[in-house]
Amino acid sequence: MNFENRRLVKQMLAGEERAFDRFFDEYFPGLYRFAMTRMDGNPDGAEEVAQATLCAAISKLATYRGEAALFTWLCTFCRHEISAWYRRRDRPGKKIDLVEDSPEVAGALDSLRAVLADGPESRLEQMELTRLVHVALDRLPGRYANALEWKYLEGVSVREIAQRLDLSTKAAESLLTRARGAFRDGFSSLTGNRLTLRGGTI
Amino acid sequence: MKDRDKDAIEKLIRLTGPRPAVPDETAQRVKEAVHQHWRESVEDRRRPRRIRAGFAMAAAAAILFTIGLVAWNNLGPLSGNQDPVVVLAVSGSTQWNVGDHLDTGALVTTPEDGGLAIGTGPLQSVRLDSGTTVRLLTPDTLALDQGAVYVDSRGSGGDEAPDLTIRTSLGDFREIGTQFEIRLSEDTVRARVREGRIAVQHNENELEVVAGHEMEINYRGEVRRGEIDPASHEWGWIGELTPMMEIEGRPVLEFLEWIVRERGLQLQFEDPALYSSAGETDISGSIDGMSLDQALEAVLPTCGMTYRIHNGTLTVLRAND
Repeated sequence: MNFENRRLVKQMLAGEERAFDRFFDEYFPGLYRFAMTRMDGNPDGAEEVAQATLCAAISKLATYRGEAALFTWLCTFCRHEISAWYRRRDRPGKKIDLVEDSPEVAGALDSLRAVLADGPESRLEQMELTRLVHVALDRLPGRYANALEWKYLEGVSVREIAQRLDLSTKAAESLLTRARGAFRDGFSSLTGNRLTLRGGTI
Repeated sequence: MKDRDKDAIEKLIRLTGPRPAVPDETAQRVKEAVHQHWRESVEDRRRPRRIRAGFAMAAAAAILFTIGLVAWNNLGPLSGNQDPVVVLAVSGSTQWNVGDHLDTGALVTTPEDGGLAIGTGPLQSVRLDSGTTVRLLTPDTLALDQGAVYVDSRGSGGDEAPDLTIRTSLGDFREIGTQFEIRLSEDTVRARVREGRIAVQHNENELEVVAGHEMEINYRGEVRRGEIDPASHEWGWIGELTPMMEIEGRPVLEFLEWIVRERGLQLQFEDPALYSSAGETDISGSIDGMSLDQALEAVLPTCGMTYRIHNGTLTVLRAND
């Protein structure tokens, strides 16, 4: 059960503004990127679909039971909104086989095994790897993903991360450990366990 | 976590760089629109509920009327089964805990004294009877090696929603928005459909079983069909593994629809006003840890209602009648 997600939903149902801000700030960027990937990088379409997705989900918020992560639940709405967007334009939806949609196609990524050791074989592989890492980050709780990016991309110290998240330094260290674990598991499952981060191999 | 793990994650995140940012003006524009929609939905929720006029007028013509087995399908769209398979309920001495995730390829065995309910999508759950073994072949396919499973899917099949298939040595059974049980014995497989219909792939043939019917296929390939009682005691094991509904803030009507669906009953109200009242009254509390009967006993009196079950129908009555 996703208790944290359920609590957030309950707060939103109760009309708490801060809960809405957290909900939007945490999930809109990921949904926008989710839509963009599936709509040929069309920013206007992605904006329209992400907005429609959030509105549709809000209308059904009381039915969220916490069986799936909230982002996963939102993605189910997003897929429908993307299809509806194409239907409204009398265009067939693009059939895109994304690894996170079909674990069976993950085999195509086998060639990326040596990415970290030798660098990507091609630009396409690098792009796909980049996308998967970003999808894995988007599926983490927002605080986890932000902490990982702050730490590894911006070089922010643990103390500074603690301040940004209003935590003690010890709690921030613990959050980073959980974030790494969640990222490792999420990334491995996205690639159908063909690319695992356990033991430092990929 | 080992240092090598940390190094690999750091390297990977550095290699791929930051996630593309959403333009500020886009985020601002969408946030305003969504915020307005959210505020309206919060206000709507605070207003007294109203029953749709058409339904209420039609209902007024009869003193006693039947809602029937309505699909409890207002829980959002189908997911395409991309959600993780997660344990929803357990009983007996099973090794699994509620909230455990099951990966593709997982082998799940239930003990002789207990079972398991797993969620295979937002609108879909599978309950495993005691002494059952299944393998999660793909997110949409379970192989049943022994025992029995009960599939509850609250949606209809569509292009975007892969239907769940139960694979057995004697045939494949594909749900089409339904409730059904597949029980495998040494030389026979039996499918019993409580609601909706299922498609059965047997040898080269595609057969169908509809609600209220069963089909049995034996090892010689012989097919036998018959009728079933959707509310008989044979479905009792399912009730013990029911992932309980969260009733807090939900209308009594929704709770009752859920109960009758779980029990395979019809729902009936004493009069239209009571039906309206059930739609307008929200429940406060929890039924976690209760059986379905206990939940009924606990909830209805707090809403001024009582009930009786007779001939496969649950009739809701005023408490003072």
